[in-house]
Amino acid sequence: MAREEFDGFAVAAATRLYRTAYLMVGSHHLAEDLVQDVLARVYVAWPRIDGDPHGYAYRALGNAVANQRRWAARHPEDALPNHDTRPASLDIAEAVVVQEQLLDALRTLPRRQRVIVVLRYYADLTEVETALALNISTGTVKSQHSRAMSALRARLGDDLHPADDSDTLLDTNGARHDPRPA
Amino acid sequence: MTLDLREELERATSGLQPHPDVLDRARAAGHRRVVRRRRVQVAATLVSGAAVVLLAGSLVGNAGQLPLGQNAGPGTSTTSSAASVASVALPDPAPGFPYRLTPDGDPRQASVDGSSYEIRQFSVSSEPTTAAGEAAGASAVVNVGTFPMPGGDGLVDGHPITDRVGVAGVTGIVVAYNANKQPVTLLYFQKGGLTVEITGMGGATTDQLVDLGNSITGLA
Repeated sequence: MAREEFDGFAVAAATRLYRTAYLMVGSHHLAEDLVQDVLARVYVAWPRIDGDPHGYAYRALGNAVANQRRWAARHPEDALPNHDTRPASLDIAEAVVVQEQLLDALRTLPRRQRVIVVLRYYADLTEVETALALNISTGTVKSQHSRAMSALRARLGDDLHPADDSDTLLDTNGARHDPRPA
Repeated sequence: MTLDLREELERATSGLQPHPDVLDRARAAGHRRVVRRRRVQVAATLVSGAAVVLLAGSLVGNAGQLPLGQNAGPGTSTTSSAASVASVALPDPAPGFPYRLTPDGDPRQASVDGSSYEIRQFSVSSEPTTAAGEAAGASAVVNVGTFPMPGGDGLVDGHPITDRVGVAGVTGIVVAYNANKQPVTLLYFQKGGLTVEITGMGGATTDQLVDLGNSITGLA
């Protein structure tokens, strides 16, 4: 792909990557740092990326967060701060409470489990894609995901959807078949 | 009440936006990495993005064992090409670029994508380096080696060939593009079994790069 096409991709992907990174590391500053690093990697690799650059970017992001100890060293609390950029409204008060609870619950997860949850349910990667992104086996993704969901349910209740691992099924090629109603 | 994880994650982040400068900073960081790699490896194989390790050690002592350029191409690494590369020189001062950014490199072996190449590098500029040791004015990085000539598909590093010029008695290809709003001009040509890559930055013109290419000795 021509280098000029990178700009279009970066503009389209930056916000989503930033939000994904934020959910993973819980810090606006670190999330921006990560997105900058990931986009720079994509820029360098751009001419040789064959296929979806988003996938490459998420793999780079997942690797950076899950495997780089420097993030933990630079932000030991790894806490999710308050959402100072979210608009305040009484109408969304209940939703805000739910979201705070969710983010609190997410914060309690070990980093790798949190990254897996974010990649699976925010970046919308399949188990196979998540395993590739983190350079771990699909079995590890399954087990870590299962533990993460159990921990989230323990804090948020059994009505947390998806209900269990079988909610998202994969065929042999790793394609997703979501049985949930549209 | 059902709590949909996907929906709640979307809502929880819906107001978040990265700093507007993040794209510019990412492009700048990416471009710096590209240029840095270009300065230490063969640009023709940069598109692979593979990690490149320049192995220390001159191969000059093994000169003259095989014919010139016999093994030029991917996946080859012979002492003959090292001998050829070792005989290449750029005059000091070089035309249009009288200052050396770094001492001339010794012939080295570069490993890219599992293939090995012998290269020698020269870094020059039109003005003295800054107090911080950075290039000032126009600058150029000359890589001479056994690496393959790029552009067979009309593209170099994803950019189209913009011109063809006569240089050192052969026809070279020129690729000009902007990286992070900075003009970059690449000149490639092959002679004597070796490929020459000249990367011009800081406003270096094609003519300047051609003059530089013409001044290289030991290519044939």
